[in-house]
Amino acid sequence: MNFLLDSWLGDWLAGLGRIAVMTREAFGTIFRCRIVGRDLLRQIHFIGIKSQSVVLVTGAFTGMVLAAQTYFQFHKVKMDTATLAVVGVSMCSELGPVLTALMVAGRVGAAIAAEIGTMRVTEQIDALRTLATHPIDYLVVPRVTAAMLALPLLTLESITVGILSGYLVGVFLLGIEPTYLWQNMLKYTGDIDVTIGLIKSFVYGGIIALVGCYKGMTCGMGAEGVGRATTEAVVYSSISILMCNFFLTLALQRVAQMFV
Amino acid sequence: MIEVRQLTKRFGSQTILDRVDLRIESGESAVIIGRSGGGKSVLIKHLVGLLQPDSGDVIVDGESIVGKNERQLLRVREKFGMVFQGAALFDSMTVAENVAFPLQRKKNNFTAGEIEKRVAAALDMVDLPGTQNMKPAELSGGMRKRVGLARAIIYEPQIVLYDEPTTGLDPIMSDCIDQLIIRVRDHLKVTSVVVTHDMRSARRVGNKVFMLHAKKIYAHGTPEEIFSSQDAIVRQFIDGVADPKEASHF
Repeated sequence: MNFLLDSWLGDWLAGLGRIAVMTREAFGTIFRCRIVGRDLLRQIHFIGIKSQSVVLVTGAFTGMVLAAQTYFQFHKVKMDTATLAVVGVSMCSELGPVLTALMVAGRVGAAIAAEIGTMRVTEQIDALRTLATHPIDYLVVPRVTAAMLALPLLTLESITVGILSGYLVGVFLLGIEPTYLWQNMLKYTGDIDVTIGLIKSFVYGGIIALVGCYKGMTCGMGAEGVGRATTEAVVYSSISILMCNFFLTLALQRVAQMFV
Repeated sequence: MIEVRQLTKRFGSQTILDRVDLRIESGESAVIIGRSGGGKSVLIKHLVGLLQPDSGDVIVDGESIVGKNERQLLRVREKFGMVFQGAALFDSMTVAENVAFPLQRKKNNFTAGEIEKRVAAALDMVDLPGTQNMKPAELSGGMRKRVGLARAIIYEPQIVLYDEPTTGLDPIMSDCIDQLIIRVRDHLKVTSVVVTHDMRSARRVGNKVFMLHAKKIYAHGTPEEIFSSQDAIVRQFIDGVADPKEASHF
């Protein structure tokens, strides 16, 4: 039992160390502005533009169900017009960034791990190294930078679509008075909620790309290794996002309280 | 010049190479032969710093490459070109993009026209003119290896490493690859290191042969010396005679 624990703990700590070294290398390159524009644009296109449909559908249905559920509860205490305020605050600070990140983790994190993992098992990463190209600079840096730029924009889209969908459900399906509904949303949803959501999504973008790249670059040999790396990339980045969300919420709310 | 001194490599508890010594002079064409799984590819990967030894040293042009980090090794690797066993072409790129890759990453800032010209010349050299727009998936095994060779020589390295260049190819294509290795060696005046267990290829392309056996360099010499050796182990490998004890396992 002790041996198993030692081995598991040792592996876990070694993995944590390796991902920390990879992160340091990647951010070293980013801060020294050694990013190749063409590689970055290609990744922004893949992570940002191609994820839009998934993010928009997720945002729309989340806003709609949130509006309906809030209305059913608030209607009992005659607070129907506060429905969209709840949708606004929830979408901006929690549901928008978290659900967008989880959807992108499923689509992009898995694709990154599979692509880099396949490159590893077919010796393409070794080929990069023999061609005097650092794999972190070529594979990790554009993906991390692109994810950190794209996630906040995707989150903004998700929030906007979520609130609009909630508004449409509230007005046309649930019969709430539109002016009060909208005014209450504007009154209770502040800039700070949007800012918190954007900061969170920026961090989650980094987590998704780093975990995906790490799992790809350290994947086992053969098809089984690539498959496992892909699954682990999605699972670990999703868990990291949910755990990180709790601590970020506490920290950012504390900081927000200092300014409000 | 490449020198390997007392190199030992283990994976877990398994020792792959045990105090291997090797010296390849500039301009030489060295062939490393040995049985499958004997550590030939592991040895060649140490020469370019893709693997780090557990002990021992690898010296390239008087400079030790052991213990250097990945960024320091990038400078050393500019001297090398490597052709991989499975070609290791970037499958998301076309043939032209694969071959041009090293030039586009270099800081000399080649113009698009210069890159196009060099790509065409490199593809001509490996007898694949006009394949620029094809994808690696559309190429045969022999064509992939030739594109890999074009990519390895486009930036005119001083040393070219070949990891089993003829494995999996028919005899005619193997002969074609051998001729290309000789052509590259003679035209570009490069040092060549070829890992193979194809005896015909070893005899043709090498002017020095090292035989890896039981984790060590067991024999070395000119192709004539090795191929006329009367040593039982060398003879058994060259003649391709199965060990009766091993054969009984099947």
